[in-house]
Amino acid sequence: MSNKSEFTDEELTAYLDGEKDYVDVEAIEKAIAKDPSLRQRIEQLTINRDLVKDSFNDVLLQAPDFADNKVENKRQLQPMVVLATAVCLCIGITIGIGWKNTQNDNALNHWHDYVAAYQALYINNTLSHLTPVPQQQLQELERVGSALGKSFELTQLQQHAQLEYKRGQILGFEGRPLIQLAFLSSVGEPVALCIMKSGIPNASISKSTMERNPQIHVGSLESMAAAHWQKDGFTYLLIGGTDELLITDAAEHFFETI
Amino acid sequence: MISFLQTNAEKEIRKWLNQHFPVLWRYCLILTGSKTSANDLAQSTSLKSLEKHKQFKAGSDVDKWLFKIAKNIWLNELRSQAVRRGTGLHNVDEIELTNGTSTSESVLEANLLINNIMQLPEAQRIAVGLVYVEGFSYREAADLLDIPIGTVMSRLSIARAKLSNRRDASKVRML
Repeated sequence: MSNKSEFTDEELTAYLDGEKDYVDVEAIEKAIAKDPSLRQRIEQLTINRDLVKDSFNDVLLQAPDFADNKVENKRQLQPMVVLATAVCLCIGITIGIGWKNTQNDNALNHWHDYVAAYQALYINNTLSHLTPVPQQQLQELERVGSALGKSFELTQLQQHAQLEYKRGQILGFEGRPLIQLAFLSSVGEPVALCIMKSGIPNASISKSTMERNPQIHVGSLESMAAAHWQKDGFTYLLIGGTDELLITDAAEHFFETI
Repeated sequence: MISFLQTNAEKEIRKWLNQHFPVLWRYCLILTGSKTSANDLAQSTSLKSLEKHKQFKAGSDVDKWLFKIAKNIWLNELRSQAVRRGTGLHNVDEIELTNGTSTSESVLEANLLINNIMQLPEAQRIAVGLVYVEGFSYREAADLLDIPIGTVMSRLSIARAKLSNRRDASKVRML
């Protein structure tokens, strides 16, 4: 009697593999005792599992070591290159940042961290030479607003007494637009208001006692004063300088006006 | 300095990678059939797992999570590149063990078995890798591959038949 129709190869395989949920072990063992052809089919499906496992364990010796630094470096540099390209930073500077971070065993893990790393490169001269022309600024705002899906009024950015609006730029993070609105403070420190659509995790900013609006989180990133909040489907990060009071005040202003 | 708090999930992933990276690489080798592609895939998988660590549930199985990522990267990104380069799917690397502690005969047998497995079609090779090399159950393998258990069983039974057949054929040749 042939058991070809009684048991499929899949069932015999499950039997050999000890997967009792998918086969009637007792029925197969009874059939094996009576049917040489079934024993032959079992033999034709038999492999030495121990040898498979042992042989592939030896393959482990050929594996490279986990290049933690290499992975970490790549992880940090990839998005940095996107940002750097977008703003025409030179490659040397970018590599320098990546190297610095590797040395510190830090990880750029949130868009806040990337913005902070980028903002840390801003100096007064980065923005001070820009002489705003309202018509150009309006066009620029229309362009960046369109990329983000949010409209801006130029006056919204010009109302804070201690911040002079300089320019708007479209950057990108993980394929999503990241808008940077750049200001110079009254003491000449660069400050950036960066905006993305919500849905991307925010970093844990070390908290400050300056917080007054519970929806605005104030603290520091990259030794710069920073504040972040979410509103109407967008996530905001205001960062720059060391004046937490200014950042807190400006964050509250933008929270209300933008 | 950039403030950064490593989450438990990220710590778990990093710890696993530091301790068991060769296991991931071996799975990538079985997936890709090529050491070069395995190097790329294992590194891409490590990178993506750290980037996406928030999606990992701390305390769950890191290996299963990494294997899923590896499979997805391979299927969605690297395999098409490997095919275009002519290094994937059809050209499987010869794996040669040189285990000094084993007898030459057992090394020969192990080499033969490994390369017979590596010559299996991709779907069967991966099923064999997950169940017979990594020791996952049928249910776990099916979950990892997003396929029904019956499909896992089918792939394994075909693979077993081929491997058994090749083993017997090689015995005949050796005689």
